[in-house]
Amino acid sequence: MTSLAVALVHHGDDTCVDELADALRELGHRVAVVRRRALPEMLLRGRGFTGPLTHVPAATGALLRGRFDVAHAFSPPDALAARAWRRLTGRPVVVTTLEVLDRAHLADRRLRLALLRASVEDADAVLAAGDEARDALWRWMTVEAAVVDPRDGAAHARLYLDLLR
Amino acid sequence: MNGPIAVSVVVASHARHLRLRWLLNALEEQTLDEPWEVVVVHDYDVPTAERVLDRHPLARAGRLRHQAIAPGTGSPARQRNIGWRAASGDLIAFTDDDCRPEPTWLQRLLAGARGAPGSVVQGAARPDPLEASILAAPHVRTLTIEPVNRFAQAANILYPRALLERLGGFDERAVAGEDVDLALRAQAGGASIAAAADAVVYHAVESHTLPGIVRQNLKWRYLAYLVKRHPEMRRELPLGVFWDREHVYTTLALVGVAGALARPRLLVLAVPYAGRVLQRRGGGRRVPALALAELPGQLVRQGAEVAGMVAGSVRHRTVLL
Repeated sequence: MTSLAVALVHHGDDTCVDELADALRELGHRVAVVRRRALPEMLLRGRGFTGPLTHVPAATGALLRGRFDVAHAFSPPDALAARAWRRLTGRPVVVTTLEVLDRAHLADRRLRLALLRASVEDADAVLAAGDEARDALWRWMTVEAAVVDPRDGAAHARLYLDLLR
Repeated sequence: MNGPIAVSVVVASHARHLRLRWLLNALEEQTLDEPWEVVVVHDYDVPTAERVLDRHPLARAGRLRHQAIAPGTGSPARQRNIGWRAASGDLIAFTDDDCRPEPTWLQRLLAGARGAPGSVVQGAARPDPLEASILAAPHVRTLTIEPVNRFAQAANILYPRALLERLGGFDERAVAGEDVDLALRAQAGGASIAAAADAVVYHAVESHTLPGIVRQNLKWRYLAYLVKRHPEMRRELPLGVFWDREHVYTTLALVGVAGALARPRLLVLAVPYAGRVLQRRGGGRRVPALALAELPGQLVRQGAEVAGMVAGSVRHRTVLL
């Protein structure tokens, strides 16, 4: 199998991202977890903005420095960094929705809907972490996502290779 | 559920297919236990309509129908006319694609209609509490309706079908204010407007950039057409020529700022406007600084709105600022 350079972009602490990184490494791929921390965002939050946002430039920079084949993001702000990277490199972006979307949080803050929408409508592939997340994506965003266990390295590697063909 | 349709919900949709989807999801939760239907008139392409409408559970239940018109040929008036004419019910409830009705909305609107047969029934609209954080943005678009008001907005209103037929529906020449025009004609023809304050829809709260909100508010220039058609409206307008109080203060401020170049003392005319803008954020320690920072943007936005009204006045040969 071709060895890939994969960036998993995630600002949070979900362990499934690290588990996916381990699974992909076991398959012989080069994997980096791009985990940039946001600066304090009280002012942005006070003005109604969603977050975190301040980690996005640093995450984009890390992606550009890393010579990756694929960027895989796990939240809408992370997908913003990945899409900025794609604009400059032309390489594919995968988005996994870990959260189960609900009406209360679709447009609850400034930029939330714009980022959410761009993350699922502008990705090369959209994955859901489970059936519930997939059904909610369809109900609220009318986006069809494949359910792939976020820890399944082989399934992800196949997807990345398909996107690079 | 069998039997005649008790009420038809008509929605005109353009460039907001996700919000439309969310509206349909909210309609799916209506508590009304009589037959009802939704008719959507939109200008979406086939794949979008298939995703958003055809595959929605309401469509599968036979409750949702939709009609597509050519992109760019629609207007709220035209689309609503197509919608109510295609609807089956004797009562037609209108709402907008950026609204989220409460589960009891239709039930209460229908109760209001049955309590006042032959009347128009106006429900309430409030900024969506789920989106309240966005009110912190400097330029926000949302809607509040406390029924009965003079605007009779189609975001939440019910008309008997017979009345719509008698009136010929919405005036398709009206680019804005077509709902006000319809209500005024209904009242002139003897119909009354009843309030259903407990029939509530929540309106989206959307923040815009300054150019975005200026562009959006330019449509209000077409209100001059409405006032020309209904000169009796002037009785309720501030000084008979201003659409609302904000425009009075904005016009004074613009005159003051422009005039101050020649006569600095004219700047005093801008004081009432500045006072209002500085108070718009309420109390709090940091609020005056925030409001002050927002003042130039607010003046540009409202100034552009007044300038648009001037253009509309010229076009329709009647003064409305």
